[in-house]
Amino acid sequence: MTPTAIGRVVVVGMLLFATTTTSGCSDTDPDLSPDPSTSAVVLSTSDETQGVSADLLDQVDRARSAEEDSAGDRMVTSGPARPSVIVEGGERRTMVIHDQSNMRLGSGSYTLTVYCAGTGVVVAAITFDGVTKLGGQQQCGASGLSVDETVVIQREAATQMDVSVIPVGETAAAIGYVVVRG
Amino acid sequence: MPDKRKKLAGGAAFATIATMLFGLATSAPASAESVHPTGTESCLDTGTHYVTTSKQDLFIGLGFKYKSGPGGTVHAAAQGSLTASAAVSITGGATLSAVVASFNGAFGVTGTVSATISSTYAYDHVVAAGKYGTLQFGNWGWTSSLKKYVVDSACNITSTVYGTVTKMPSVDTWGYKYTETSS
Repeated sequence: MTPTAIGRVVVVGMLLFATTTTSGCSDTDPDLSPDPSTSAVVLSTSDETQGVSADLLDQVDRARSAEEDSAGDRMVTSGPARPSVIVEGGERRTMVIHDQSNMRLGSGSYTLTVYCAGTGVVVAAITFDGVTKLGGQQQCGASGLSVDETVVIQREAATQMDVSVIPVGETAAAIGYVVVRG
Repeated sequence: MPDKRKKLAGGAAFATIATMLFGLATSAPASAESVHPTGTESCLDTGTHYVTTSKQDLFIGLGFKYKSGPGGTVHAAAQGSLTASAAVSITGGATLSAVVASFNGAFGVTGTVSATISSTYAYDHVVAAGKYGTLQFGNWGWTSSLKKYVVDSACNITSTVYGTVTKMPSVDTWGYKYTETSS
C-alpha cells in the first residue's frame, strides 16, 4: 500500500469510526477523443442531481474566488464548490472529493483553505508525496460560511499533492477549497 | 493443474464446528469423504469463488482531457454524466458482482460494478512557467490481483486461474487529476 493510500485509509477509517492532447496551444481545449472507459457523456442540468442548493454552492464559490484573486501568483489550485451529496436514481449518496496534482512543488509553506456552507461536518486532508496532514473536523456553516485552514511546511520539494475533503455522516453542504503557497 | 483433487478444509471445519455445537457426531470423522460422502450430500462450497489480493490505488480517468500551456492556467469545464465500470482480465471471464463482493470483503472498501456521476464540476489549476498542464476528471478506485477457482459437488477444486482486477471504481470518491509535462 502506498503512503497516499495509507492516508486515504486513515482518513476514511477515522470518519467511519466517528459516525489530449493538443500541444503548443495557449488556450484550454478539450481533447475530443473520448476515453475508452467513458460509457456516456450526456449534458444535464446539475440542479436536478445535486442534494445541495445552488445558493450554497454560489456562496462557497464567491468566497473561493475572492481568495483566488487575493492570492495572485501564490495560487496553486482551486477546487470549485461541490455538493457533499448527490442524487442518483433517487438515491442520496455522499461524495468524497479527491483531487491530485502531479507537478514540482517547491519547498515552503502551503495553506489549504476549505469553505463549507450547509449542515454537518467535513474533514480535509492534504498530502505531499504520501505524507498526509489532516485538518480538524470542520462544522459547516448552517446560516453562513465556515472557513478552515490547514498549513503544511514542506522542507523539501514534492512531486505530488493530494487534497481530500470527506463529508461525515449525513452532511449536506457545499464544499470548495483553495491551496496557496505561503 | 496443481490444485486438482485438492480437498477443501472448509468442509471438515464445518463438520467440526457442528459437532462442537450440536453434538451431531460422537467421534471425529476419519476423513473429509466421510463428512460429505459423494452422492448423498452436496458440498457447501460448490461453485466459482474469487480471491482478491494486492490492492493498489487507481485513477479511472473519464471524459475529456483539458490541456493548456505553456504556463498560465488550465481550465476544465463541467461535463455531463460519466460512468466508471469495473473490469477484470482473467481466463474464462468472471462474474463482476461476485468479484466486487470479494474485493470489498477483503479490503474493507466500497468498490462497485458501476459508479455514475450525473454531472462534474469546473476546475482550475495553475500551470508552471514553461510547462503544459492536463486535467482530467475521474473516479478514484483500485486495482488488484485476482484468483478464480471452481469447487465441484465433492468439494474438490477443479480449476484455478489467475488474473487481474484492472478497474474497481469506488462508490463515492471523485475528482480531478492534474499532470504537468514539458511539451
